[in-house]
Amino acid sequence: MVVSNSLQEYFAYRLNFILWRVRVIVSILISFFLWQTIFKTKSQVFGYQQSQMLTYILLITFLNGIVLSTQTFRVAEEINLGTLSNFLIRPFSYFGYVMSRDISDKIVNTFFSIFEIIFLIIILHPPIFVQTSVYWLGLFFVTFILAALLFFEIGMMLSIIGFWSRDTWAPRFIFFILVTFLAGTYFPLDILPKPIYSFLQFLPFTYLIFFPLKIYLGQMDSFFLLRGLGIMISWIILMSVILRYSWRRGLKIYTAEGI
Amino acid sequence: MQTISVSQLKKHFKVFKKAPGLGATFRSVFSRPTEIISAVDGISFSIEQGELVGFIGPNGAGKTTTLKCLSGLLYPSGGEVKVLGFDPFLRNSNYLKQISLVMGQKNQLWWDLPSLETFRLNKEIYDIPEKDFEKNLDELLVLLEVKNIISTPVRQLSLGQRMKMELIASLIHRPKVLFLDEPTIGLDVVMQKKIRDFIAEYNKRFNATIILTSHYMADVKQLCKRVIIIDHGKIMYDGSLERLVEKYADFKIITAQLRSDKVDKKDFTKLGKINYFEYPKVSITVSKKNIKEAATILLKKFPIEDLTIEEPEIENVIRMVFTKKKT
Amino acid sequence: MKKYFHVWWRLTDASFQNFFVSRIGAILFLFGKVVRFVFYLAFLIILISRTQIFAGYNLWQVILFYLTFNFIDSATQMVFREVYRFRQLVLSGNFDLILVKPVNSLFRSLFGGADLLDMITLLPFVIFVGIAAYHVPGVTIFSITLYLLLIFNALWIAMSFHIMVLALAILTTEIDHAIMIYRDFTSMGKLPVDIYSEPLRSFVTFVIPVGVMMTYPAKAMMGLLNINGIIFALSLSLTIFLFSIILWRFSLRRYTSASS
Repeated sequence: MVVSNSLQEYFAYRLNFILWRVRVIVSILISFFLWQTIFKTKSQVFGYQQSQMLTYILLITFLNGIVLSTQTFRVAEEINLGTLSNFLIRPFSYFGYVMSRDISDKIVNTFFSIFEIIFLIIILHPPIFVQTSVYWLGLFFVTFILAALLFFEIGMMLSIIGFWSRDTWAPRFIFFILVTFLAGTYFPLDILPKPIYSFLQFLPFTYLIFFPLKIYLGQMDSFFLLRGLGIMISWIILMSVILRYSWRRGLKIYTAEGI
Repeated sequence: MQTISVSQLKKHFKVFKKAPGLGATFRSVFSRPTEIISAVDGISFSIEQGELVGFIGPNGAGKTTTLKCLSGLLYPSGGEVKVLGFDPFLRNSNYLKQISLVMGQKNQLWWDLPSLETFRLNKEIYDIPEKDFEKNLDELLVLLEVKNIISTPVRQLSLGQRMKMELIASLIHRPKVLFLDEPTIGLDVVMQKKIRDFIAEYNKRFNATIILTSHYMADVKQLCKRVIIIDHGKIMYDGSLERLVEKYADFKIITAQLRSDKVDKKDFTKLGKINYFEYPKVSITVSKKNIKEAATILLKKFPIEDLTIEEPEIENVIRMVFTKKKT
Repeated sequence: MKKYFHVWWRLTDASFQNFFVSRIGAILFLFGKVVRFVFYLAFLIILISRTQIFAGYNLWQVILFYLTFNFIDSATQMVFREVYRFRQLVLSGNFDLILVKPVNSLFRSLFGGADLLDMITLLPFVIFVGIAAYHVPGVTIFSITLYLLLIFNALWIAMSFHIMVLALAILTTEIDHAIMIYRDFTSMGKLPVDIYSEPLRSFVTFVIPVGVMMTYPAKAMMGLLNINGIIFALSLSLTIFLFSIILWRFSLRRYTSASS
């Protein structure tokens, strides 16, 4: 029900949505041609074949839709404008509502991203890497779902700041920039110098884009895989605890102010 | 010389009919079905320097459109407009420096900064010498009693205070002609009164020509000797308020206090139209030529305690002007 | 002229004061921009120090392209900041109050207040460009002059696009972030446009002249741009500018002959 409502809302904002897709594609094109140029002089760079790297870049479009698209920023607006009250007095779960709103957002974006990928492959006809192993594909599926969950939690955290401050856009902007680099939407993280790369593995960003894509490429030993999954799940649990706690604290402030 | 002269002013709007849906939106880029609406349909009037004229009319009557044509925001579809000898639509700097447009629902003040910053910006925009600026500002601040809040960020001001500051920003260059579109909208009664007094004072002190539109009859009643009533883009009436009552109200209201309730309501209908009858009070609308007779009959035949004869309320007269047109 | 400078100064003064009203948010935004700049620069350095050569350019040359892009991007944002607020002005009808003032409405809408935040970033960019230029071979006084000329040309093109965005905001209220589309496309110029293959390369050179704006200046400094390229760049910016002015006039006429 909520999903369908949100889908309808999309058509109200359709031009903005198209603009958003243009942004994603332009950003992908820049990365794509950057790497294509790199592979003109060398057949292998940082341990990647051209087909693997270009596949990595193209699949970012897909993960952008399924993991990084979100409407959680609207929670901050609802807190600041006081419209949150309209939800709180109704007998349903606000978190459930926000989550289904995000799911519908992801469905629309993913739907479009698949067409865009097909379009880009037809236009650019790059060498691509198709993963055929059911094992890796299954793991890919599991990790990008987990990544979406982790991203949702972080997005909610950024919005909950709204209980304490009106300035929620600036932290979100910084977070957005950190994600574009540290999650691996410009380049796979393992091209970075070893110490930095090892450090990044302990941060949640790595698991949003880089980790699932690395699994799709099948470039992973089981030690790395298990450790990665362990860290990822720990972050998800930790974030959910923090989220629950700060939501309660924030709600206390919200209701005390009686907006 | 007439400050404002308008003859046969017409303004048509092309309104796009928009179909819903993404496809229709794209198609509409190339061709759109349109409909023509005449917001102002051939109006003529002229205003002398120093006059304070009220524009009255229901929503969508063409008041704001006329003001926009006069201030150069809209290009007329037909007719001629001259203000201070200028053609407003050319938006000549020398013209714009002598006029001002205030719209109650729109604002020019910087939201996060003290009003003084906007005043200073306008000083540069209108080329006001520093000395004149100081003098004008001081005068306006005193008149509106807002000297103490000039350094307060606009966001912290109340609606009434903000309106006063908007007025100062619009008057700092001491315009000769002033267009006020709903200047008191949304304000409480006390604040409305203050703004009204200020407008009257500004008009008197600087001999400024002012056109005012308002929903509040109180504004017009207090301020304007002359009113122009507009409906459906046409002038229904142009003249003084008193004459409006004389011309359109060929009736008066008799209100009587009864001594006993032993009367038949039907007997009153012979005299005129009953406005209400709630014992012990009865109010009847009686045409002017029958007024003496009706009063005599009332006093003779009914148990009357007290009786008054009044002119109808101005609001009612204006409502009549509008309804008459429709029937 | 003097009056316009005074008006601009007031607007900029106010914009600086506004900055201090929301300083925490503003500083976070500045921080975000710096991080983005540094991260991408680091990425380019890591990448090209591995391959040595990128589309025929060495590392310092690529950095010069990247810096030139950042300078133009920041300068544009600094000067034309008001454009980002313009649509709201039209929607709320407050644009009316600008039109009835004796100051050119295009001037006011375009230059209404420079952004302090971007101004802070400009000086470091100038210094970095100087350092990069020092390391790039073939730089002469003459090529530096051409570089400055083409930077100015790029800002002129940017201005024309901003004018079009303003006109668009008047013509239709449906397009929300036209300025963001412009910025997304110009971001393709942070790398030399030689890397894009056809037909994309023609698109970013002729339709949205990212190449002329972002790549040509640095190429001219390296002595890689011939006289035809420069003539093309100048005449292109003139054409775009004339078109944008016509579009602005048209939109203003539309606004004043039909508004709600």
